[in-house]
Amino acid sequence: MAEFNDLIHQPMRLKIMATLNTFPKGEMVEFVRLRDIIQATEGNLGAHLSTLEKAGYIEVLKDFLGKKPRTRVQMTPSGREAFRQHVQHLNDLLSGDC
Amino acid sequence: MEHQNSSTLNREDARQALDTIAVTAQRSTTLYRYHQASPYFFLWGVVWMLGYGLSDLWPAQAGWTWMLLDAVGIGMSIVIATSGRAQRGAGSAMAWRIAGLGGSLFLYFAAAFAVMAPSSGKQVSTFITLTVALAYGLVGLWAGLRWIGAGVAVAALALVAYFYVPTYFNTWMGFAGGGVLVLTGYWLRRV
Repeated sequence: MAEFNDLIHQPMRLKIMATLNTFPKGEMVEFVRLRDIIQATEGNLGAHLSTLEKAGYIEVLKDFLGKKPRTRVQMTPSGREAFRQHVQHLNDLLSGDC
Repeated sequence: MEHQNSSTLNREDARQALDTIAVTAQRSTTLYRYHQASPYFFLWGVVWMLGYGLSDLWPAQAGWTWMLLDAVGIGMSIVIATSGRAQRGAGSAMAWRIAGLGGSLFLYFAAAFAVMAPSSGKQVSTFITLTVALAYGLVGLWAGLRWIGAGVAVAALALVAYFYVPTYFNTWMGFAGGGVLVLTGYWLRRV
């Protein structure tokens, strides 16, 4: 049975995972773009990304584009699976299967 | 949606969460596709600026100028399309699609002009531009409103050029038309 994921279900983290799940595997999204897509503040987004990274659901890469620091994010395979399971759980709950 | 766990979650909560996921995913997908399309608008905006500008300078060579620039544009479109996808093993398929699109458009316009027999270069240019604008609008029905906005802007500029500023047709289409495409490229990159 698909599992409910308490960590992913937090509203902002749900949006983060839903957004990252739309990007092709291996493609990273810049922090500022993710911030604008889900309309979060930088501090709020940073805190939730840290939580997701500690859980192993996302990978955060910090480097430089020229001299400008850049932070990029992508979902890990375990993150995709955890998100898929959580969505399945929600669908099962809606259809009365759990 | 206050924070919940599995024991407090009910069907309505699940529905709200799934709605949030769906809305967020739709927004992200639309913006992603805009971002992917952006380089092509930059490219073809520059092609238009060059094409119309050179056609103004050397009107007798306009046909060859456009054929050469369109071939360069298609080639660079293939480069753009395959640069990211090649790493995911999908480069050659996209290259064939773009080449096929270019070839199909060439044949379509050749056949259309054989049937309609346009009497001026302005008619040829305006017809091609209106067809491109229509394509943007149709794509926009699925891919998002910004495509429709670009299509409407390009069509309007072409019609203004053809009916109201025919003497400065090439200049107008180069600057205004090419400019709209370049600005659309910037617009599509923005969230």
